[in-house]
Amino acid sequence: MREIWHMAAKDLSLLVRDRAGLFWLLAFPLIMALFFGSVMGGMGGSGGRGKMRLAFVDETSGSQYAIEYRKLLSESNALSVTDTNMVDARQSVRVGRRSAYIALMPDTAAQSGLSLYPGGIPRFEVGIDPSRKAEAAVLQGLLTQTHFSLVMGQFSDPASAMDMFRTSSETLDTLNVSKSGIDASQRDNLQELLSSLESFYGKMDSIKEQVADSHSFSDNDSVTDSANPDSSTATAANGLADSGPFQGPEFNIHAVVDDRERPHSAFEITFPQALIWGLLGCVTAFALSIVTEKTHGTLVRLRLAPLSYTQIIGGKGLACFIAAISVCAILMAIGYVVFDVRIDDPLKLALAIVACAICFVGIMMVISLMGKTERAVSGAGWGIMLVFSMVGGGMIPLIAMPSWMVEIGALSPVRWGITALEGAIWRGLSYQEMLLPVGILVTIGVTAFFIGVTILSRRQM
Amino acid sequence: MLTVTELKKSFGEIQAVRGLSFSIKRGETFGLLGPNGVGKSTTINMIVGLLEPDSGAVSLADVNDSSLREYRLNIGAAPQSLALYDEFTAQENLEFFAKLYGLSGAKLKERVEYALDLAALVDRKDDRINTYSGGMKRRLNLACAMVHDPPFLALDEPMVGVDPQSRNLIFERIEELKKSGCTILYTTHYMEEAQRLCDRVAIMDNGQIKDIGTVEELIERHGGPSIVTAEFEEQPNLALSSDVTIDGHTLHAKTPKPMELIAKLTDSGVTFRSLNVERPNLETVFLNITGTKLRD
Repeated sequence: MREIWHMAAKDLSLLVRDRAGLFWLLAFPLIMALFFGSVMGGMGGSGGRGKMRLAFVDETSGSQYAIEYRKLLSESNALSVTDTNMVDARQSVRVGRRSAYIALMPDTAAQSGLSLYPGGIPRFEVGIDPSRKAEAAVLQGLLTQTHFSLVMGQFSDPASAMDMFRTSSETLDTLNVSKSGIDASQRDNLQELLSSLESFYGKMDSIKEQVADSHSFSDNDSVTDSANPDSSTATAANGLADSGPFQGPEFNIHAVVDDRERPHSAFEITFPQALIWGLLGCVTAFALSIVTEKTHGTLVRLRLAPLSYTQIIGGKGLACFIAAISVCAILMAIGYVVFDVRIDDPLKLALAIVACAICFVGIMMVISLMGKTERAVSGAGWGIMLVFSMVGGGMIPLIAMPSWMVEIGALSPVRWGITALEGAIWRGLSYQEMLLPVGILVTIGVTAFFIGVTILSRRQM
Repeated sequence: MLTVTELKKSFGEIQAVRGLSFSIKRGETFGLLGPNGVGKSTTINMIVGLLEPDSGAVSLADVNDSSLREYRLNIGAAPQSLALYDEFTAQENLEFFAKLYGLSGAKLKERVEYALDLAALVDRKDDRINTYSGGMKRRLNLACAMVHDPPFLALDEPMVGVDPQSRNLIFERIEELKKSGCTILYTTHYMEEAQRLCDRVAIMDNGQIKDIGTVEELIERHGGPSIVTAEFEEQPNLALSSDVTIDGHTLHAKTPKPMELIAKLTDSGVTFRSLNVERPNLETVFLNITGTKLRD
């Protein structure tokens, strides 16, 4: 055992002196964690990060609808809106300066206010950067939501609603039946509906008094809510007493977290990935070191010494294991001290790190078999590790992958490594729940280690 | 100390070593000579335990299994290729390899200091060896083989790529080891090295030993005649054997006994203007045994 320790100490000493190697083990994973953490808003606050940059063009010459629509859009947390003209809007999207533009077109009902009559729906032109096509549906949803928020606002204000019904009724009167696609009977029915609605809204004050009496609503509460100009949901959510009979759906969107409000920041999500990158760096460094011993001739001297193959390879494995644990510990310490990464359960984290280290030591052994030169092993190492990382969620979030790739991801040790580490850091997995990823990691590691040792011994390294 | 019996090794179709047998006495320096590719390194690798022979046996200090710890502890080997960690200093390299042989504490310190002195690297012991010259690395390579104080030393072409100063120093150090009683197996294709260092020499060719003996024995058996060239003040009038030709004032002779010829000339009363005797050496023996044709 003493000889194995000497071997491991030698390898660790060589590793520490290799500055380029240390970069890939420590600095690169940290950079990855910081980069993705920042992209995901890990610095806290909105700060504009992650918002879709949108150009807004008003072609209606400052209609009331355009002003209100623009105001509501700018309140969205998902959008960063800038006013501009059509030419600049198209150019800025074409060159990638903005993700999309939206232009409210002229000659629509938007110019004269909202109308219920067919064809009176405001007409938008939306241009999107081809590279952001995946977000087109999200953008459409946001634009539609904004429009309906305005519509709901009109319905919730009896005076505005009555104005709208009146305008619509007048428009219907002047409508060219043959061109609009509405026949005379449909027009009569619509007129009757608008007339009824106008009459109904005219009686709103007396209805509100009756409802207030029966439910004892607090006038102060109502005033406070409706006076909140920043709340985009306030208009739709004020209740029957203020908004009348038409009320839109209220969306309360939130992240699924447990009662400890985890993850605390995006860095808690990205640091498990950083640890995995550190482990991948260890795998490549030590797989290379086995081949380097061979090509530099030092393996000959090791084999001349009174050591068995198992001791020589065991020394490599021990060095890789210690390096892997050290890299994880250093990265987590930096995460904890500098980036406020809170560890849910240190014991579970230790368990996850040890399981990951065992797994990647085994993989290191197998990768060291994949070539007789440093170049071949380095290529094979990074190639395999990148595929593992890609399908395992080390590079691209699992949610962004097609379903078949997510299923393939189950074959990647990176996937189980991240699951175990996240489970210990912020997902709050129980020991029972940790058993699956930890068990898979240890099984992969032990199996790969014995395959590697057996083949290396047969090849006499 | 070492007995090699009917050692054979093939690599695919190529028979590298074909039934080699020899023995080396304790304290002896034994040279294994031969052109490149005749199986010297394969033989030494089988002796030190790096290669498993196809058949035959090797016994070192009465231990027959090269995988045993006792066997390995008795061997110090300097491989033909440098086997050092470039990122370590000389001292760190020596300490690491010494620890692998179980050395620690005062003994470790003492042996590392001895090895540094042997390699004449005391002043540069704390420098990383990637700053060393080829000769310094070669000396350290030898020191690493000696650091655990083995009774048997296997040196595979230790002078390859060495400058004259380092070469001379390595010669001196090996001679010191020889005097201290170390048994040495030395492979080389430089004849002057073998002639200077080796008590006995085996000449290998085509995976076999062609002859074994002291340098003198081999010269006597395979060296051929000496070449005598003499120039006289006057044209001699002598009755000599058919191997001797006289052309005017100059004599050319090929004879196994040059001293007898010179005595005879002196007795005849001739006056020498110049006299040159070219005796056969190990190189002549080597070329006579292995031939002069280039083989790859």
